[in-house]
Amino acid sequence: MGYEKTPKRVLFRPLVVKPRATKMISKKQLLAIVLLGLICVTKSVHAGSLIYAQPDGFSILNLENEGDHLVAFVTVPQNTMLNAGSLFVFTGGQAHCVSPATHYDLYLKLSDDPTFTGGSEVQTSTLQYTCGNGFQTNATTSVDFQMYVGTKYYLDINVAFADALSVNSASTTMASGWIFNNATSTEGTNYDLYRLEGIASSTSALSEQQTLDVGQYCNVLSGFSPQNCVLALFLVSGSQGGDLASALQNAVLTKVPFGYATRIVSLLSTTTTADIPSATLHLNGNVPSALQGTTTIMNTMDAINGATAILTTQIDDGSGHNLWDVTMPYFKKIVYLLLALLIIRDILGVEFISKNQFGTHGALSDTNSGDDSYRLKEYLYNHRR
Amino acid sequence: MITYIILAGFISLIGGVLAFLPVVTTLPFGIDDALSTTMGYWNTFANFLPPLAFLFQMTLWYLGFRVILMGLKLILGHRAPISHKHV
Repeated sequence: MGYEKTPKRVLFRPLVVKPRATKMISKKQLLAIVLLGLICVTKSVHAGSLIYAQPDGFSILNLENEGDHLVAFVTVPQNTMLNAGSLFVFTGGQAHCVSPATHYDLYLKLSDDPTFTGGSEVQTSTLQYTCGNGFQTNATTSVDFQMYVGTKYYLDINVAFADALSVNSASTTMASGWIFNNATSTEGTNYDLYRLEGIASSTSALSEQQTLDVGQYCNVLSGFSPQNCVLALFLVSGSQGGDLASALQNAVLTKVPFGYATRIVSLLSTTTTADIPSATLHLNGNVPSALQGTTTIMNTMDAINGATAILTTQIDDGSGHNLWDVTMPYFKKIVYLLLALLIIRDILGVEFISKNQFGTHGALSDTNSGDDSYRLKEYLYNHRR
Repeated sequence: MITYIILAGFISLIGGVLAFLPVVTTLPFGIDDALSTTMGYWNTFANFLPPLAFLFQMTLWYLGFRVILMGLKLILGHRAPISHKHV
């Protein structure tokens, strides 16, 4: 190694400080990482996921029977001002219709009035539900809504639907997710078939759902709400934001020269697929005589289609998942973790893997470039008398 | 409401100024077709092997992040709150 090659004519070998491994994390960096970790943990506790650290908008707190309604309580977290999204209700398991081959309507109603008789009804959704052959396994419908902080919302799943269905709980197979078992209506019908899942992305909410009406909230005679009035006065609502984006698109982003970038982005975001072309190979010249003059067509899509069919074969456990559905969440979490480490390294300069751990001390100035005290010693050594 | 009015006025003003510029519908020199076909191939491949496609997407994302850091460093110099050892 370079620092050990002291010339023999030197009588007194100068004190050579063996370069120590670069101090990997200083106290400040450690503190920053701990703080970052705390923030991540706080976020993850709130959002339910470390990786998707965005406010989910709401969480379903409870599911109870109230009178003849099956009610889910929904409360908006305090740190989100306004949210909108979709609430999906899935029936799970094998629910057999009391009256087969009959049409029923599944109603979903979200309201801030627990009795659903007054208050402001937020949204309703209807799904025509057809019984067939005595069994119906999956019916899905959703309700779009907007909600405000501090208000408790109630989800009503229409009883007519519950009456029309009954479920043998012993034979019910539940999928993963938020499942509320054994809710029983006042009519005595067992229906543990409700899977309630809350999805409310802030970004989609802002772009799609919100309508803040100044006339509604700023009218001191009726419906006056100071908070919503101020919000309506100053904030750009979802529909207005869409209008602005569309106007900007037409006025600027489609014109030369920005239009080129817009077109490239548009092409890059397409989801249409194109078959990879096949290659035709004519065998002539220096090939075995048996192959002389033959033609081979290599169709890559045959291989891809065949492999895709195998890779996307569903697991036979009733979940309907394939290989990618099972493995990709883990793979994504690993990649996200690596990305987070890279970002921390770029911002804080922390080496998670030190080069010195692998014994590459040879290039002194490189491996210790961040250590000024060592650089000074190296300078003094190189300029010794 | 107020923000909306201000922004809408500003955008309409810019639109008026830039009204003479032509609208881009396709990229020139055959780039449009080439890029469209390439994305079709890529989407086929991404459907076939999602992990590789995901890695590619995340790599692009990280490169974008690095570009932002470099821009910060360009503007703020040594005052940029980033590690000058890596960026």
